[in-house]
Amino acid sequence: MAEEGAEGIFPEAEVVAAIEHCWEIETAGPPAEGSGKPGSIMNPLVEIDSHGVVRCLAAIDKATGIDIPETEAKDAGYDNLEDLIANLVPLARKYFKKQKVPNAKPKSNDADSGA
Amino acid sequence: MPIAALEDTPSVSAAWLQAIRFLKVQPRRKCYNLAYVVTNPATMTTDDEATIRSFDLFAKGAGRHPVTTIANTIFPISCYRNRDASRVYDGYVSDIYPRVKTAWGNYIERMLRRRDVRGEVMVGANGTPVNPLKSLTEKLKRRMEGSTGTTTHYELPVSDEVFEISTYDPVRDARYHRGGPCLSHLSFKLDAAGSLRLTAFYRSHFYLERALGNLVGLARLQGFVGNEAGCAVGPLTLIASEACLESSLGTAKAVDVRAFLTSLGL
Repeated sequence: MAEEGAEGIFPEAEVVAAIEHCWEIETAGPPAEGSGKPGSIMNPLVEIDSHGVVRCLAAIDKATGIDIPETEAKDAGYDNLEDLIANLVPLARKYFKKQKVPNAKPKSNDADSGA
Repeated sequence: MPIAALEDTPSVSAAWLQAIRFLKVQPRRKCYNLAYVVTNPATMTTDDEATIRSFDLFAKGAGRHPVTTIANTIFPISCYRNRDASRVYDGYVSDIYPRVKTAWGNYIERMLRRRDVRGEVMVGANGTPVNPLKSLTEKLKRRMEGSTGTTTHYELPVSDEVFEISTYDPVRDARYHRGGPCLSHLSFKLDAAGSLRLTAFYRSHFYLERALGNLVGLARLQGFVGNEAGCAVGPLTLIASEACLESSLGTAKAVDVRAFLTSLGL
């Protein structure tokens, strides 16, 4: 749901589009050599790990100007796009409020939404 | 005990469990010169996956990092997803490191760049950043390509200094009395069978918090070098001049640690 702040409306659609594009890039193509086979150490333990999330945060920043700190991604890992969106959109909303509406306080449920 | 040499184990999690079992019964749960070999570090068994899942659950409850995050400090597996080594050699430094850099424990950046006394990235004669991991891998690849089908294969200079990576930085790390990099040195060797061996040296190794993720990261680093150089992956040897098993971790108290170890059959 779009939220209007002092300096604009939370660009949820753009955030979601950036996440979806990032997911597509991160999970595209053949995985590393050896991975894909059962029992390879090169198999990622999760589809998108903390580094993948860092690239997603950069993509969100580039698309919307919302700068989510990397500490939010430190221990993150996602196996599906829905969970990634479900966690990153509230974070983007939280930091949108902080950065675009300096005096706004984040919602309590936003504060709990770690990546 | 001058050297605590454990039995060979087939996989990273088996090695981790064996080391914990050993440390658990040592005085003060620590020892010097712990050494062991993972015979097939390229594999990830279902038992490994189960152990990692258990650890991740425990680490989350303790407020500590999961295996993936720890492993990523040694080798960023997501950068190699498309088997594009440039995403490791340069992509990590440009896309990831500026956003995750910390003063402690980020080993892969030390392997990908060298810094001078001012902390500036050192540049080679060709004008590009000095990249020790890339140099090592490319040199190893040249060796593999040059020796194919010939008996000179067995004369590879396995003690060549370019096969060594030091992660201890005497400028950046000189002030540490605590903290600082625990992983000090990586040594790659080609054995007589043409397999790539890796020996990792830890000046200090924490077995509850870090070792499982470290082992996964080291095995992935070895897999990357072997793949890029075109050689099979051989054993992974780990030597820790000091190793300890923490009695508590983060928000996990001693009783929680005991319960976790019991759940692993330790």
